[in-house]
Amino acid sequence: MDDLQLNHISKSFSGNYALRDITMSCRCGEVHALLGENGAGKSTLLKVLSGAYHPDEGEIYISGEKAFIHSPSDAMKYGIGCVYQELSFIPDLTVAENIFIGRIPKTRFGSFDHKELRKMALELFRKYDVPEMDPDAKAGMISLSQKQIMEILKVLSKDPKIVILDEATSALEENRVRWLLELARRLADEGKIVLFISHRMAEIQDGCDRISILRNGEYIGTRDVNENLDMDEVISMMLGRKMSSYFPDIIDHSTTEPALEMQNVTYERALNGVNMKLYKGEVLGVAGLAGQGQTELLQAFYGIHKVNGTVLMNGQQVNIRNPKWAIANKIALVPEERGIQGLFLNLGIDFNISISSIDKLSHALLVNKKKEEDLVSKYTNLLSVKAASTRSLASELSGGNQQKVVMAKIMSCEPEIFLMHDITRGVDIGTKKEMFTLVRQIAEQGKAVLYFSTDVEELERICDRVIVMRDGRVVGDFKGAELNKENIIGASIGIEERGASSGK
Amino acid sequence: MTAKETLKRNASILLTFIIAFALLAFVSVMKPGYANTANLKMISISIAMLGFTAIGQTFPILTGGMDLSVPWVFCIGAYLCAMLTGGEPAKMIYAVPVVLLAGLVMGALNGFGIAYVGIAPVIMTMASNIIFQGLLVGFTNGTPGGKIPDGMKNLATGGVGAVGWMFLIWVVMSVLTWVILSKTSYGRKIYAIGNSMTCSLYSGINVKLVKMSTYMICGMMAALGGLLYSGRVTQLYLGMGSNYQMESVSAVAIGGISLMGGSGSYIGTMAGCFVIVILDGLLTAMSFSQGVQKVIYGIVLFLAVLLSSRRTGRTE
Repeated sequence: MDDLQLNHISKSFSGNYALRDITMSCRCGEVHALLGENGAGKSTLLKVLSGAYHPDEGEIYISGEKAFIHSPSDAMKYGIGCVYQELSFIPDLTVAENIFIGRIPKTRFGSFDHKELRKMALELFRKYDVPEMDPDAKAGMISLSQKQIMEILKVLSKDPKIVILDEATSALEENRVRWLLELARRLADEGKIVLFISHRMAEIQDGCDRISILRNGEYIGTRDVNENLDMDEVISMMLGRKMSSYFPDIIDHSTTEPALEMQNVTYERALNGVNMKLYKGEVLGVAGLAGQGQTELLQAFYGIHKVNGTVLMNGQQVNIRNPKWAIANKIALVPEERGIQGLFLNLGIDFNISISSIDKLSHALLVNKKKEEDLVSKYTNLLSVKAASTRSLASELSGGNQQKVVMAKIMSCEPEIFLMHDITRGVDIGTKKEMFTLVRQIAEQGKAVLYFSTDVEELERICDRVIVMRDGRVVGDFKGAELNKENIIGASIGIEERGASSGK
Repeated sequence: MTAKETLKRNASILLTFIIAFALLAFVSVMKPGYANTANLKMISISIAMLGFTAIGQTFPILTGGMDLSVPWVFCIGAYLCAMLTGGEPAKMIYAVPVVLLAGLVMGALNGFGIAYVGIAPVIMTMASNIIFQGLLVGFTNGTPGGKIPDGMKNLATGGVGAVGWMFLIWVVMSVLTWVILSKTSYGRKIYAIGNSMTCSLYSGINVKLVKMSTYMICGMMAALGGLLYSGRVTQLYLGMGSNYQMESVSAVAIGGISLMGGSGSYIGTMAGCFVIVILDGLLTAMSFSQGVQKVIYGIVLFLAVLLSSRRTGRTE
């Protein structure tokens, strides 16, 4: 028997099976990937392991002994540590306090020992080679990528034997993804089990030893990751059908007419003299290591930041005052944080989609219900949003469907220029494919897309041209044959500076 | 799920109305003769008076804010009316617009501080409440000038059968408020802001302007409340509006609108006004001592708000 053995696990919610007779196992010293579309049962399975759910049937054995996991604290007792997909931290506490919450050391007078806490945090950072992290920073103020690292450290600080990483890389940027993959390998080498969930095939091929595939709550099979691994087989196991091609064939529709342009634009420390052009009909990728100004670049074009320098739209100098102005002038942004900036989680799909065009749907202030319903159904159909009804709350949707709702809202404004911030983050493979097709369709219609992604392969395969940012500047500009992973990563870390003419 | 929730929310509003009428039935049984036409008319007028301020208060609360400057804006509304008309009904033609404008301006001051400067709503409106008090006391030397036109007295105390004119005015304004909040793009934006200011900004809503406007509406309604109330009293006095500070907030909260903003219906606020006024009348009618009345009243409001915040509590 293996070190972690699941026997005939079933779990259903109001009559619907979320997990059906799952039998699988993991060994100490391996990084084991769990693959499946959204709704395949991965999250439910993790919640069974971490004690959030109790299975209806089946048993769990850890190191050959039957484990009774009825609560998260039981799971902790068995050495199971889970980094969840949804981040849960307290924004007003510091990074160190969040990591050691519930275990903060006390001085002999009974007050919190901040010096000791800081020491513990720094020790933990050193132990796991954490890149640039301030233990005293407020958790609410650090970047999404750093928040994710903080959550990982919170789990690791409890020294678990079984580490579960639920889409932990989705919030990370390229260089930090590499850090996490190395970390996973190291934990496995220490004899732990790492259960790894990701939607990114490249990471799974790079960093995992075995892959287990779930589909519709059922266990489909396990494959070893080696040179004989047939990725097409894995994908068809996940989908239950053959997927023609993961990435679409792209035909360059870019024109020489600039839609957006920046000339020597600066903003605080994030943008240090950016020169770039985005052409109509083009999908322009934005690459770079974490926090090199990519997010600010997109936000500047959406009026979130007041920048210095010249910004041009359709050749005219403009002042993009705020998002309202941007939307009115046909610029739309798919924002970074879906649940905070993109969606009203406690409101319905219909409200979420129509809110950005609500003035257009109203006559003398009164919302035209009929027009609104037509708009909502038009875009939910176009993007094939899957939900019980258009009144379903956004919070009840899967990650992929949430992203579709955000996309529907953006598209209902009928923009000419799309700013897309990592639209495939935490999205299942089926939806990803739909998104890629959609992005290409938008460009085909002569519209411009500024496409930021943390996934280099995606940039390579989806974009007509990619610019690379480093230290708030555009340091690379690749097109055609030059547009490949090596060049993008090379420019990101600064070993090769080629094609840095940056469209001026 | 949503349909079920809507039903649940409406059920709780219905329950609030039922509680109000049960309280009224209770006191009618305990005190025979309590529910006579004159007394019922009085109650309906009191509901309307609270109702005007509660209409205003609904707007900032839905955005996640609150307006505590209602009492002195109310008072200034009443005093302005008396000063401008000096008792002459004809002068009401310009007195009414001036009072409403004054309310809008005071609300704009609150709204500007909160939306554009970023001051916490409770701090901002508490401070402006004191400033408005100071201005009025300083300007009038603490004694009211002017006179309320007689027509105002008829309007404020008269009615048809057991229903005061005021109550009818309030019902009309309530329909308007309900339409604004649930049927217009402006209403949508208010709910959006109450749910998430960040997402509202990214969705292209002028968050600051909409937020400021809710305080302007609240200011205007408080001033209008004061103007209408002035016909009810024989002599104006400072502190006329004091009760409406907490009562307007309570009416909104009892009605099921979350004090965090973004959820609940205006119809609930109407039910909240019924409960508060009828409870107040009950405690007086049962001839409890002043102290006991206050304690019971406070406990009931506390429980009602607590229950309502539980009811509409966010899932997050």
